[in-house]
Amino acid sequence: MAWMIAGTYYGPCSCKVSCPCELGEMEGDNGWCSGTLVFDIQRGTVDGTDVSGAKVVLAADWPSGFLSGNGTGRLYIDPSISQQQRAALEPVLGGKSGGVFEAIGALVPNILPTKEARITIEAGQDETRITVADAGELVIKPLRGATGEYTRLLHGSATFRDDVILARGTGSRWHDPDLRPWESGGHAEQADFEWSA
Amino acid sequence: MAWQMTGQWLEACSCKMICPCNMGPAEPTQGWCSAALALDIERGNADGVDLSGLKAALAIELPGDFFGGIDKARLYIDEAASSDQRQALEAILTGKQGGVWGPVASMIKEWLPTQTTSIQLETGDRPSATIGQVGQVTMERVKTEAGQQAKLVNAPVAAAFGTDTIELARADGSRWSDPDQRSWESGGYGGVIPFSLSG
Repeated sequence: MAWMIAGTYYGPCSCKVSCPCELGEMEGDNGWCSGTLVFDIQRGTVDGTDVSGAKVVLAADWPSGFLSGNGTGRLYIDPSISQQQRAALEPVLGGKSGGVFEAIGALVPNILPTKEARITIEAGQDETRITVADAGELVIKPLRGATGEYTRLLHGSATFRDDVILARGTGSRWHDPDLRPWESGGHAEQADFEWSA
Repeated sequence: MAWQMTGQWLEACSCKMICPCNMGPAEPTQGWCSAALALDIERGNADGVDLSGLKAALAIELPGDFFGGIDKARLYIDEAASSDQRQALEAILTGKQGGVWGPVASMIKEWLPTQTTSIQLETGDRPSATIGQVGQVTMERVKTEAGQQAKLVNAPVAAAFGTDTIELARADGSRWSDPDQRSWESGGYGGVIPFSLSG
């Protein structure tokens, strides 16, 4: 199956900024780690099915840090996505169709049933606010250096992209009854992506 | 007095990677933070005194993050420095000659007396520093599988130190034990920081 998706992802987690797991730490700041990845897919096709405009969220809990694996997670899919788009996207995001999601999937072996949840993304230069139905509210405020340029982590050893904007995720909360409830310890990140396999 | 210095410093502290204090107001990993900077001045001069090739270190003890100030600091200067070089370097790094070290010094409540000691410092692929009997810094650069160096750029607090890029390096195993400061071991955070400063 051939696929390509391009857009922006947002990722608050339970750690302080900057999340130590992305640079090789096996344990999150709390001893454990919980996080979300919100994918705002602006363009994409999966085996000929157009998935442009799809909004999808992966939330996961890990007993230690994400690099230590053994995570439990769930996909949330916006109800605007058609059955055909959902059938195309679920295997990709579940790591069954190769590419970057294969590595993520290996760290989240326990996947709960997908939930349909209305996902709203209010994106801005200085702040992005995201709601995922009644499961979570996320805040992503990019950090900037003295010159006003975004704070970036380049070539992180365990990041999902080679160039990530670091952000403050304070105020982000997750409260799906089947997952660990958590609040952001301060870390969030965002990056444009174009992935395929 | 006009001065300039170009080189690299190694930075390690008691926080995990990446030290949250770099990002603005934050709670350090331990609640407190202790850090060391080991400077390799590749080229430099101060009013005609050549500073090229000198090494120095600064150890600081913070009750919280940078916004809570620095309780104690000590400067260590390479015993290879001449008396003129030592005087010039001490004046600059304790903030008496302007530039970026002025505001840094203004955060420091107490300066412990400067010590002259042996300083060995490597900034290459395996960065390390040995500061007399008190400090041992060993680092492993963080790289991608393809060998690219991980970097933090435009961190909010970096500008206070006159820099914009931190080459990230895990400093596990680094430790500091000066009897007049809190002893600490690295929580993992470390970096190699290119600098070009003047005042």
